[in-house]
Amino acid sequence: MIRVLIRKELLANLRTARLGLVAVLTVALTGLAVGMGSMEFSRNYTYYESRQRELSERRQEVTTWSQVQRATARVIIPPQPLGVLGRGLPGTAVQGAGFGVGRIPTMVWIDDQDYNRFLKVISEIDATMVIAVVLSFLAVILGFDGISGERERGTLKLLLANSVPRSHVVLAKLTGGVTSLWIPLALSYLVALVALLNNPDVVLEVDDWIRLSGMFLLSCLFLAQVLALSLMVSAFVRESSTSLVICLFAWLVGSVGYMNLLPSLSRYGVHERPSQEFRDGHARNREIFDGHMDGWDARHPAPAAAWLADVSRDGVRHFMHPEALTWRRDRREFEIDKLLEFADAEYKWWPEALAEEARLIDRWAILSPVTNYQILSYMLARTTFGDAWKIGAATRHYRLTWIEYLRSRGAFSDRRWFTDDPVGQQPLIPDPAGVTPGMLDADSPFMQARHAWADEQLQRIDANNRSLDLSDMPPFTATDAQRDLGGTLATMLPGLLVLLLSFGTAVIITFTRFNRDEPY
Amino acid sequence: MFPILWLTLADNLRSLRFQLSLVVLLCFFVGNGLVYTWKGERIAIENEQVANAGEKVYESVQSVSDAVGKRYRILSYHTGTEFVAEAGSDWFDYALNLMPATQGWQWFGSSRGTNGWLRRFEIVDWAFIVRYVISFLAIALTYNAISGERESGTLRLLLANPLPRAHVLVAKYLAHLMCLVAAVTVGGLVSLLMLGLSGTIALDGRVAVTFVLFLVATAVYASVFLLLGLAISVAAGRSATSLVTLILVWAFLIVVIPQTSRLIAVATVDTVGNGWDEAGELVDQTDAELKRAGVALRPLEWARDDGFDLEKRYARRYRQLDDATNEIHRQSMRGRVERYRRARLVNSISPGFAFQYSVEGITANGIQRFEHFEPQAWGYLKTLRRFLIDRDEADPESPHIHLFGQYMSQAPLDHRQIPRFVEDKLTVGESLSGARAPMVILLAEALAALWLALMAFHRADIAEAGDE
Repeated sequence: MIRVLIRKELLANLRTARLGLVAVLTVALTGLAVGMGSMEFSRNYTYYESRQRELSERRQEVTTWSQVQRATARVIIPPQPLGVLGRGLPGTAVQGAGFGVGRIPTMVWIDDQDYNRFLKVISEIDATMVIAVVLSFLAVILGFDGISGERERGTLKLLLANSVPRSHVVLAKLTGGVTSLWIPLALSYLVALVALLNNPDVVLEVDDWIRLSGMFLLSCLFLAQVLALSLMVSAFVRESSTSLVICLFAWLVGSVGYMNLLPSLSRYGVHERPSQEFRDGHARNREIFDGHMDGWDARHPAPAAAWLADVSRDGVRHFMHPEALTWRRDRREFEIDKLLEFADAEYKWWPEALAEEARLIDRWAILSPVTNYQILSYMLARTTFGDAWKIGAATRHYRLTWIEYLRSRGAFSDRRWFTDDPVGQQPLIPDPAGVTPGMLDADSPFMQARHAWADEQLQRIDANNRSLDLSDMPPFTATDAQRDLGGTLATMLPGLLVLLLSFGTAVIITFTRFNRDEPY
Repeated sequence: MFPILWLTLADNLRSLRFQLSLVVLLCFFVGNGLVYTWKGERIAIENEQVANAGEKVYESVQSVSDAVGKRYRILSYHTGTEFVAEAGSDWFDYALNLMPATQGWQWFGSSRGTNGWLRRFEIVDWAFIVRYVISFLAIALTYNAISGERESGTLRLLLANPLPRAHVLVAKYLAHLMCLVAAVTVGGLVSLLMLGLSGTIALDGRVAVTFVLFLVATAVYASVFLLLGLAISVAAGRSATSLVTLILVWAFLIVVIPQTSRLIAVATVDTVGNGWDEAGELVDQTDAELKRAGVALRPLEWARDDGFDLEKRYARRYRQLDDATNEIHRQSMRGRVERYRRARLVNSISPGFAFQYSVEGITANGIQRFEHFEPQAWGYLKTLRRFLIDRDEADPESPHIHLFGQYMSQAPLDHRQIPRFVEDKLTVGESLSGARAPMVILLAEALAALWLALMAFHRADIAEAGDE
């Protein structure tokens, strides 16, 4: 019997123009969103590859430890293929973070190629949005007169006269409705899949396939939830027109309204330090650091100019005098310690409130089924703020490993910090004690002769022989910075629970209400 | 005609959907009042601190030589009507960080500490509320205006009156319009009251004028959807079909078009990149060139011997470089604005954004404010440089290598004489003429909707299908 009922519901839905209309619109919009997203993904992927290449080339060219920071202290995460479906915060953009001895990364940056503040005021469409707005509307339309409509038309009496258990009627309505909604949903996912699979840049791993099917299941659940909620309204309200008005307004407030009100409220509900305080704090930290260095310089006077003379090429010093090297090395060792302190002090000044606001959005999204669904999808696509935060945390962790590695190689106290000259290299001024100040003028015959000598020496340098071996540097793996399936599921748990609970509650309330009700 | 108007009005006021609409609208306007009270407080604190810090830089100036190497920060003004249309006030580059020295960098940035993570989201300003909610309510009020009467059989009675059909249409349209505009007026007053009582804004004539203009724009915008609703409600056989069609049209116009515009703009407008890489390369080239030629800056006492010959050559070359890099940054900014303009163009198809940009015109905010600010900011750099050079020329002791701090006048300089940045504000007249296109589009769309509704009314069947 229940099969007949479901068939009836399905046919009733399929025969109407609304389903066809919505299906066409949904598929067209998903196609548009995914097509453009996929193009964007390719663009970002090419950019990602060029960034990677640039970084590894820089790594090859490193000859001194001081250059290592520029070449290796950077983390880049490839664009997320599932960001095409659920753009979330970064969309398909390349994410990354830079750090240093004196800099602890706070959040990841979104590497936009061309950073445009103006476009920030314009939001973007994705498949999740289409489902959250358009298909959920269809679910409302299918559900709002589910019970009140049958009652008004008098068909409820006929139906119940067939000795059908009332629970079956509700069950059939739900199953029929979800099945009808499933058609445009499946079609949109099909379109999305075709677009993704046709893009040679997109490589979907097993993990991604699981996430993708998770997104599909989640969409089904979400639509069932909206349908059940509107059925619940129709069981309570006598007239279909009233039920429609209530459902529509709830939909408006829950989707577009809440989606946009939420960030405003979270933004200004959190205490945020005025930006000038950050600038002042930064200036203060800088001052403290400079104070330390000035103190050191006062305690350890530099050797005279004749000892310090050397030749600088591309940030590498050549022909340093051993005494100058010792002085510089001691200064460097002290500076590293103070830089680490500076970095910690700076980190305390970072805009913690900004992160808190963004995290509040993830948390408060639970309150509306539509935003809850969106954030859950973004969690699966790994594009929420929490995921960006994870990348930042992994980078901070990697920074410590990186510093540890440099320390273990003795980088901070090594002559190779400053120069790649071989040990025992003759300095620019071999006998500084015997040089008078006049000889040090740039255009003096002595200095000109020495520089000519230096140029000749530099001509003979084979940079390849001098490059630093960084092969044992612990690599940063992008997968460590991203949540694995277990992690994603754990973060999804509260949202999923709310989804399932509200779905279950809506179904139970509809049952009990309908069971007690008169059929006319 | 008037009886129909009064009847529809009375029906509306009594109906659940209108009462719900009012509640929803009020919620949004109260939200607006809350958000902008908080925001106003924050911005007030921030503005004061930033202004103080900026003034301190001027106060620390000792001499021309000193002033050249300082970093100044100039900000655009705070419009005070952001609660009507935020229009990117948080995001756009309303601050220029500048250094008069030839070797100083100039860069634009946001004038506020804004949370970049929240960029995806819109903020509840009045324009947003009307754009989304009023268009939706217009549909909710009209979707069964005619099809409902047909279903209940009252349409026959209505049209049995010796009245032209157009009058019926106009009466219904006016009644709904009055309801909506009244609701927005109430909501707007609530929000104004909250903001006024909290001291965020001064309730003066300017706000009143903005309010009235905003209501006019709202009326035109609401008309588009009311007339569209009436037209489809006549054309569609049943109320449910009418509603589905209307909501889909609404979703497409209000939600979808604006969300695709960014992607379209990025795909269709090529930009020259962010400018920094290109400029950096040029600097490296020039440095290498100068090094090859043996041209470098020397300590003052050495340079004095040959009358600053090398320094003059160095400065001349660097001035050319400065012009070139500034031009690169301007080009790159133009490219970014161009992209935004393209996205705006796509958006303008949607009545929602034609309305949004009209309101930006009314409040003298948005991209036209930025385009007004940008040349002024560059102009200030010029003024400041001119002032410092003139001061330097007046000092006979100075080597006169302009805009290279160490070779400029060391004579004491009173910081109060340094010109400060005073922005010429964008007037409403100028901004309205800049927003002509969206206003014309909005009006055209309202007229098109009117024409559609009239056509639909003239061809309408009175009876329900199958109702003989």
